[in-house]
Amino acid sequence: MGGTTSMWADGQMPSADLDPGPVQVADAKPAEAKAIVGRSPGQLALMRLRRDRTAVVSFWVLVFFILVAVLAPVIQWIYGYNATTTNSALLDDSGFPLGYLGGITFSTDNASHHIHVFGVEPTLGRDLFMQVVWGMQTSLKIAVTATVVSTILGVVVGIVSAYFGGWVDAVISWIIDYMLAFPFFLFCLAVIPVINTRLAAPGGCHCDVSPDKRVLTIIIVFSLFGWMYTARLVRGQVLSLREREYVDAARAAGAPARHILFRQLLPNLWAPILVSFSLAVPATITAEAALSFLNIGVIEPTPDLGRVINTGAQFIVGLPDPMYLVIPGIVIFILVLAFNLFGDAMRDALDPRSTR
Amino acid sequence: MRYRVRVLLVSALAMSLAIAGCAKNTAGNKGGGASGPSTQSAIIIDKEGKSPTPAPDVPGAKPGGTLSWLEDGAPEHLDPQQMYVTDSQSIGSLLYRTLTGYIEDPGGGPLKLVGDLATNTGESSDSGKTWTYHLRDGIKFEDGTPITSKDIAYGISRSMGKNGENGPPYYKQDLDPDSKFTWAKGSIAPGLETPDDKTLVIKFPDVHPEAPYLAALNSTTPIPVATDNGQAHEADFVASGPYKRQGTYDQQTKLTLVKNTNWDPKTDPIRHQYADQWNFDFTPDRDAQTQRVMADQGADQGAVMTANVAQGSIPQVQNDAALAKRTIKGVGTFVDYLAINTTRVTDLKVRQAINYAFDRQAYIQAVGGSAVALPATALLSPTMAGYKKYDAYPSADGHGDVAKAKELLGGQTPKLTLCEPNTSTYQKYAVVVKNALERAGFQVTLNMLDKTAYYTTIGDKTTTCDIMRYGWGADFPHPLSTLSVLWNGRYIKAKGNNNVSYLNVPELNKKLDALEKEPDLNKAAQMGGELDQEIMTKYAPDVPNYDIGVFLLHGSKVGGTFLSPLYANANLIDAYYTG
Repeated sequence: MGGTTSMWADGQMPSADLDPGPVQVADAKPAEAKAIVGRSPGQLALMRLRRDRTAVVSFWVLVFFILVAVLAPVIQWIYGYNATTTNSALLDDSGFPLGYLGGITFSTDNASHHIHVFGVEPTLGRDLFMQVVWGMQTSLKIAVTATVVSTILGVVVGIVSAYFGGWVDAVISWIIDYMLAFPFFLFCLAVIPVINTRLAAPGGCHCDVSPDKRVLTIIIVFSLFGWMYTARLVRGQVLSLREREYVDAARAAGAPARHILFRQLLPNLWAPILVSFSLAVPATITAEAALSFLNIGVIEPTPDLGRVINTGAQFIVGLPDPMYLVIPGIVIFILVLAFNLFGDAMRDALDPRSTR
Repeated sequence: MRYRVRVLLVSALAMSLAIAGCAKNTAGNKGGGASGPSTQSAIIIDKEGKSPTPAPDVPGAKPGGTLSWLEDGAPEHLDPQQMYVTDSQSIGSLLYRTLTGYIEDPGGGPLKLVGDLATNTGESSDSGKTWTYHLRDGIKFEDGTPITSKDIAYGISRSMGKNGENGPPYYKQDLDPDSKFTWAKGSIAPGLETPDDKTLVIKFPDVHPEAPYLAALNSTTPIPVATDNGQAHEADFVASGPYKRQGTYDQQTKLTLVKNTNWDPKTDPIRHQYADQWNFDFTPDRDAQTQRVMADQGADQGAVMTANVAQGSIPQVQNDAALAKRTIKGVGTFVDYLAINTTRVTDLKVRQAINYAFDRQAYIQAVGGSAVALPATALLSPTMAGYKKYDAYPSADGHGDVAKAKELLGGQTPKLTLCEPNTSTYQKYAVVVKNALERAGFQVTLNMLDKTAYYTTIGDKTTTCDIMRYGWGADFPHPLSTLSVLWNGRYIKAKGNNNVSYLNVPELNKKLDALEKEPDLNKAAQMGGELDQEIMTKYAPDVPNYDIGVFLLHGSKVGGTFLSPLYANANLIDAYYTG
């Protein structure tokens, strides 16, 4: 991200809004010449993004997935079948789905008297489609919340560290290095069960670890371990921005530090923050799936994409029910790929001169 | 090599698509699993020492050849005094002799307890406190030194010290109830007397009619004091059985056993020595074992599995006549329960309603079907002497009787916390239980506990769990080894409980005490079957889930083997290579 600043190096756009979504063009100047249209960097980026076909496709894929996740209750209402309803009559004696391709059926002529478009889960006989829909909600909820929290944390720490410099910067940089030295999954493996057992063990608080609390634990752990990269990035940016004329001007005008930090500097940081955010979300989704692999992730009966894939992998050997892994696998693959492609496209759009 | 591997992969994939992807699953394998006996006749105790030596030949058996054993990981212990897990006990059946031992019936009949190193199962005096054993003539260690009663006394003493702390606790508890004895190399525990080299007298401070069973535990394997090398004994052991170690044993990957020429068949009523060599391969996991034994190539033709056939391959094995012939299947020794915490769920009607609402059939399907799990309605394992089949809370189709459960609850909606170890499989099982109980109006919260802390948490008397998954495998075929351990309230302590339903009924405790003191082992077995039903009917402290099913394969050139009711593995001492 080294060259990112160069495009607004002239400093005339201290509060340009570079949000690539529905861009507000509040800062756009009235057109002075008919032939040449003045565009803000935000508009330029948006234009580049619109021309990029990959970006457009992945954007709509993301919108689709987010809509599915948000509208899960509506989808359940339309589909008419519950995600947690078990039905052992849909399974054979060994617990494998009856019928074709892991129980995929579009007819209601079966034990549940309902269609199963993705088939049913082996061992429990739940509807796989509803599990995936609700599972996506859980995965996205965790990934987005954790990434938002860690990004906010990272931005604040990064700005403060770089702007104040001196011993503040030294201490914060040391903490960042210290946190980065932790092997993340090892730490999760150690910390998450400890927190959960502490909550459940007799002599502790005598309360049960509810599924919601477990989700919260995971979000907290992800947030605590996700902020360092953003913080470093932002710190680097601010180090190069804080000597600019407009910052000097603000300082000379007697603006307080808070104003300079969040009104003058922060708006110029949106581009790298957005890119790092959009790349951190898919990383968190896969990490959350990995936690399920280690049995410290989200637990039953909360549906979860990562856990579905983890259990699905057990049904691939001997191949009694490959569809149980294949379908959720394809879904999480497309989801993560779309996030990554969109993140890449956004980086290209915001900083066309950077090379990969 | 690479090419071959790829071809295998492609064909495996094509096969799988044919099997699972495009073919319609019509439940053709229903009922293809094992079925347990309806009652287990009592045990045969050879008090007079009439069992013939050498042991009668297995029909059709021939000597020679190499057999192998496939296991996922080496057994933790091969030091006889440390052996407590069934895999090591199976291997031990080839290596070590004990004071008494069992003859397993290939036809599934009752076990027969006979004198092994001793001439009979022991003579009791002093109303069951003192047990005297006379040793056979001609018994030797692998190096040719005769086995004396002192070696056995030392073996038992050693099992009470640090080289026996992972083994069964019985001799330590029963010979030294006040923990006064501190073992050191060469020391003999109090109560063990050796008037001469052929006689061993065991004097318990209390009455122990089950002593002949205890004598069959590997604790009584003879150890010459001079060869006791402590921890190193795990890899450098002295054999007394028909096979001995060849070369060094790395305790990780493989072990080779060859014939022990100093073992005399004329002294042994139990064992045979057919194969020239036994290779123990401790590397293949469940899937690799399944693939190797199903493929049946080369040395694997003489192999036996230890893990059940991979879940996905079970239907194929059941539907293939050639493979079905090579299966070793039946009911194992472990019983899986849902223990109901009687100190928290105090209303008997609620506990009975839990039993009625439970969906055993769905649970078994989740576990993997009737090949690996058989519906259990009794507390004792069907392999236990005196087992009696009954169903105190019957339902028409095995899916539970929700109407009856609702009737017992009478409109209540009790809140229950269900505790299970936090693994992906137990999470699934927990969902089955939750959904089944909620049909009747219970409100069930799942509490998935860290699996390493699971037994510590539920074994704490103050646990907040209402229902807990629990499993038990009896150590010897006396019902006290299940009933007393799990439901005698006298044994409840602050932590580390096995009685996790925390049932403590004075009337029942008295009956269990009487069972423990019953001098006639066959009568004790019968009492056990009756008490089992009484506990379930009168107190409903548990929901019996399932008896673990064994579903193994052996290679096409293994003969004589069958499901060992003691160890739930292939029986090794009757196995031979068909050539």
